[in-house]
Amino acid sequence: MAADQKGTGSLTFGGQATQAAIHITVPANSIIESVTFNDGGAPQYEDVMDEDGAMHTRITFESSMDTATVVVIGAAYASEAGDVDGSSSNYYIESVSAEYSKGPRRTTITCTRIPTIA
Amino acid sequence: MKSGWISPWWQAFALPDEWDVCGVAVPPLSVWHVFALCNLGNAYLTKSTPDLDDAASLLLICSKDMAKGKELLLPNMANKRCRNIIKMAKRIKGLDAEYIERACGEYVDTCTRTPSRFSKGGGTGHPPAVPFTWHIVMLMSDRLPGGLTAAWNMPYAYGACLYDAYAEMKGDDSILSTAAQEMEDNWEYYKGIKGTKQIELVGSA
Repeated sequence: MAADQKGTGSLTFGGQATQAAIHITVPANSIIESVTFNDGGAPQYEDVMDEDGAMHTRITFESSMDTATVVVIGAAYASEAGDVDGSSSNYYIESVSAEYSKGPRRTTITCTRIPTIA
Repeated sequence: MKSGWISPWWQAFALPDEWDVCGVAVPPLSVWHVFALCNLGNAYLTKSTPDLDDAASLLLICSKDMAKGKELLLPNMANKRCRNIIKMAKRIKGLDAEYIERACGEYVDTCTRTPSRFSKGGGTGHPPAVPFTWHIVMLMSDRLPGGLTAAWNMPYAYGACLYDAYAEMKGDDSILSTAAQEMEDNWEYYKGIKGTKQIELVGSA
């Protein structure tokens, strides 16, 4: 666990009744290169369209996972490590790192479960 | 993925056994050819502006395998080398200069096209001290029946792809995926795409 949590996330008490989505915003031309979970679970991919017509990619995972690592080709606007998109999420952004080529950029985002005190 | 795009992996595998470049029959550019031409400062490999001498030198080197090419590069063969380059230059001189440059450039670009790599921004890496061609030879000489000679004479693009495959097996995660490579090769198109999308990670019960 990263000790210096920032952003709007907070410790979640009383278990994880709600598994709110973690949102990672990326450029429209981004490609999801890989998604890996610490529990080895297989993610399910689904392309969904919002009411405003914007395309999303929804990745559903088993709630037993503690960390998820998403690698995308493109810049990710998950902002800085520790920021949480929405206060109801049980996960926060552990780290964001980028690699560069002549053209595209590869961003690796690691999300970690917020510690739960039952 | 844009139609008509060919991945460097497929291209390296599908390189023809022989090329006709300005009427000269040459094999695909080998590891040896790349090493020699880089050391000779050939403009087609150093990406500077080539002239007729560069084209003649390229075709002369590439028309020979390592053993014969090495003989030609020995110091006491300088006169013969010059004569051969002049002879080669005369052979292609009648052709349009633009055509020569385009044909030689296409030959070199195709035969040296290899997968790209990501690098960490502001990373702590350092440039390799050993020329890449030697890394390929080191890796392949034990794996080919012909040993060192066969490794030097193998097509450069094929050897580079094998080297990258080996590197990834050993944990190198910097090689561009096919999708990313396609994006890089068509970057002018992709970089102009506006808008954003969201990736949602949603936990199931």
